[in-house]
Amino acid sequence: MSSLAPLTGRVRPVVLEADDICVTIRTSSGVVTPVDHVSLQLRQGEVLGIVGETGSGKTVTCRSLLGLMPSGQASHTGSVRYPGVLDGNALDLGRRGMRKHWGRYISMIPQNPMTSLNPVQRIGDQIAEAVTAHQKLSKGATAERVIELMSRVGIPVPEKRLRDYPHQFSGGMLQRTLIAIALAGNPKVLIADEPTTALDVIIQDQILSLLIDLQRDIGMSLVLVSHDLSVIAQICDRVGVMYAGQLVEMAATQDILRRPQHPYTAALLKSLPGAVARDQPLTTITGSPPRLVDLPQTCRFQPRCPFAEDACGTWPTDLLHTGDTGRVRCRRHDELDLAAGLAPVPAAAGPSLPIVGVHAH
Amino acid sequence: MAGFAGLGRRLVQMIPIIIGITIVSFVLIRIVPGDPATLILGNHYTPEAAAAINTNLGLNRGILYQYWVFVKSALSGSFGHSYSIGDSVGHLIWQGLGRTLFLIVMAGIFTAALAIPVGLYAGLHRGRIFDQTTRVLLLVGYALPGFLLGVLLILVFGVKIPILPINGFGDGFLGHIQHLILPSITLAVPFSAVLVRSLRASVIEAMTADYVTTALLKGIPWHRVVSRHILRNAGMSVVVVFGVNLAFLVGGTVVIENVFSVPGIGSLLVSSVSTRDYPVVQGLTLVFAVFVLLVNLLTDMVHVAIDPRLAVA
Amino acid sequence: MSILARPATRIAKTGTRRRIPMPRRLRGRFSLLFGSFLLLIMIVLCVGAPLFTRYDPIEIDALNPLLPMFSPGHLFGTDEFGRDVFARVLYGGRYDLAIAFAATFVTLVVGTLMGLIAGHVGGRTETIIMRIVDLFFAFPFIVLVIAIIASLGSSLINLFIALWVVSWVSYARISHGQTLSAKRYGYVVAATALGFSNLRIMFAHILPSVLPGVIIFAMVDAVGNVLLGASLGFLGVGIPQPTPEWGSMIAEGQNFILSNWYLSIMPGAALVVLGVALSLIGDGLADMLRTNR
Repeated sequence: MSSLAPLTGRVRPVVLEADDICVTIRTSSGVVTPVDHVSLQLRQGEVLGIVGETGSGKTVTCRSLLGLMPSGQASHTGSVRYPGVLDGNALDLGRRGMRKHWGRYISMIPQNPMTSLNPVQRIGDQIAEAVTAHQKLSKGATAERVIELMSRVGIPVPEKRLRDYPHQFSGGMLQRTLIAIALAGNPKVLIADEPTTALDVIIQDQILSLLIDLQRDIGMSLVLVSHDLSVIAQICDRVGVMYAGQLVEMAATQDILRRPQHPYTAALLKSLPGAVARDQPLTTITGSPPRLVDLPQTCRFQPRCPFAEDACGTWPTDLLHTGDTGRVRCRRHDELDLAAGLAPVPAAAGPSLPIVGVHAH
Repeated sequence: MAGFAGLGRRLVQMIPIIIGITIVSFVLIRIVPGDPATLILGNHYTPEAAAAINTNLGLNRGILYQYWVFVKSALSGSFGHSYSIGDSVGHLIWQGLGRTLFLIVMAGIFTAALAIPVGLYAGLHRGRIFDQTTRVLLLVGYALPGFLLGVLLILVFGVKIPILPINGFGDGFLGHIQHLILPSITLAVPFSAVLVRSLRASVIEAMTADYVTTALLKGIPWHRVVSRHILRNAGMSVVVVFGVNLAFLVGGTVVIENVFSVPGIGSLLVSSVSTRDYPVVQGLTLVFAVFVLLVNLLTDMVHVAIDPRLAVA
Repeated sequence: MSILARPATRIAKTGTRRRIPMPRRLRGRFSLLFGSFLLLIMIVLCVGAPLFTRYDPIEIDALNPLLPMFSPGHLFGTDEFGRDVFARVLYGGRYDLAIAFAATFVTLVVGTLMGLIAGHVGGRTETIIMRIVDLFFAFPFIVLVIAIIASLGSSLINLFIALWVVSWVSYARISHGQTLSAKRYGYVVAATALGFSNLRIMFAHILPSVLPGVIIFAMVDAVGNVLLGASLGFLGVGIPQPTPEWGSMIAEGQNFILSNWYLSIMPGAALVVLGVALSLIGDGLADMLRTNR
């Protein structure tokens, strides 16, 4: 499970390639950099997790992958490509240029289902709009497809509920509707930006298992963003850890759980009850994350890092290779043994774990 | 039907307000210093006429009886007798009411035609030249008294480019329209300032809404995102603002009818005040208030009809 | 969630204070400064009118009627009675400014208090106050004001009384709504639980969160009151002749609009400048108070 390539025996094609994206927003209190030199590759059928605290730049990163740039005083460098489909830069195309890719090649599931549907349009019409966005269908065929999508995402009695308005739906049902909208054009890539944060715990599990189920069925690639490492650990093939706008570590899920290379990753793990050995105490990370204003180009975790040295303060950070696929942004990663105290990860852990009904609390 | 049940409830809720309105209109004439009969008669005062009024209105009897006489005359639509014009007050009011309604409807249409495109365009292109210009014009439009604009329009159209009539109501339907063009514009400009401001804000708010991102990411054309998602939601709040401010427009007719000598109930109100024709002032106060109530009721009904969240489940 | 439990998410959810970018605040400050500057100039010119003109605004000069603009000694010319228009605009402004401040201030205080009491005390008090408010809202303000003035007779004090009687209701409605939402805030609930007196809760805890909305509205209302006062003057039911007031000056000038347009336009321009100044202050306050919330 550590990387897809060795398991399958051949390299799966890359469906999304982000190269060195930077997004900067000029505000009166300084230059904010929510995305700072982020590069990543997504392969066909892969589930990539991105974990980070609120305000670490996950959402802006996600939206950049779709070519949705913040409006106002923002600028960007770097590129996002969809190999074979879009060889230009998605960041530069704007909404007119991106329209033919949205829904058909790449879709997004939003963070807050309650506000993400038009309150004055019927559920069925909103799904139908996505169905007919890229293909001409008769009225009957559209209705059929809408009902099919609704039952696929688990909305009961779809032929009745398609006449409802969003305020008549629960949060979970709204998120299912949004998943149906995202899947309507059979996209190859799905970006899920904290899809369960706004939902109740039980509903969260249902939505996650639905997502994974669909992802396996259709074979699409999924980027799953969360501030919750436990969610990521269960269902992702690879994990990227973001801190203050930067990717600080990126590796296969197994490797992250067994051998975290960055002190921040290790600290996150050591605050998760399930990841820490039974005889070890849980620990918290002292201090608070920096504001994303006028940050230096040196290590940003240094002020909170228990392993920081003077030299860390002058090291221009860089993503260093670990193993064959891992990357880490820590100059001391070779010397540190961060795995001490972590629980042994069972070989079966990772994406194959069942999700529903395994509550530790 | 849920709509009818809601309407019935609203009508019932209006009853105490209507009673309150009659009380206010009734009390107004009683706070006049001096003898009501003398004031009502004005220049037509004779001791005999005063005695007749005292009997008619029950002025020599209890206050409750007087109120009852007033309510009865209001219910019959006559509102008593205007002594200065020598006609029933109800007749005078009905005559003017139609003209005022004509003016209000025309001004409402002008306002919609002016405010909706401007507010929408300014909101969609926030911060651009058009939007900046609109913001400055709004500031002036809001502070510009309607009668000053009317005087300016009379100066320009009546004198420099004499293509439009500058006073009166005209004859025939087309004549009415022609005569009411300038008054309608005068009413529409300050009203549009209010409406553009709120439409622009609603559009800007709707543009950043999550459901607009959802719609955009479906891959549908931008003009459809605008018409189905942004405009429909922004329009919702504009309907409410439009309805609430229609009362402001109704008040505006009082001034503008006088500027352009339109013989509606606004002109009637001002002329009655200057001739001290109290029964007319009293009746008009009541009619204006009922009119505003009906407009509010209509606004609520339209709002319920277009916003599914308000439908009774 | 699932195998690994949740606490990690909790530490991660803190931090990041949201700050609204400066431009809006700066724009607010600009509007506020520029609006106050305009208003200050008008106040100085009108209140200190005798310093800027040697003419009496009411005194008739039968020898010099309808002088054009920029005539020697008469910057804005003279009206049909030979009265200096510049002096009349300056002196007349005193009444319009008085309406802007005095009418608005009294209704602000009374209306806010009424809304505060209705919202905080609740029960029958609330029902009675808010029903009265609803009742007043059924009338177009100008109609009710005209009707009251018609009954009381037209004079400056009666104009004020009419405005006071009618327009406190807007403040009551705003302050009632804000009070109801403030009552749900944690610190108000806490103050109630601590057994503080009603007065202390109302004034020390609820009022501060009611005030910004009310003050922003007061600027809009001041513009409305000025326009209303001028409209009444224009209709001839406001302050009686020969006292100069911008609205009635516009009406008088209307008869000479073809030959002596400045008789109407000069007081009209003054009215617009006052309205713009107040609107700018209101916009500026709104931008600043809302961002600080």
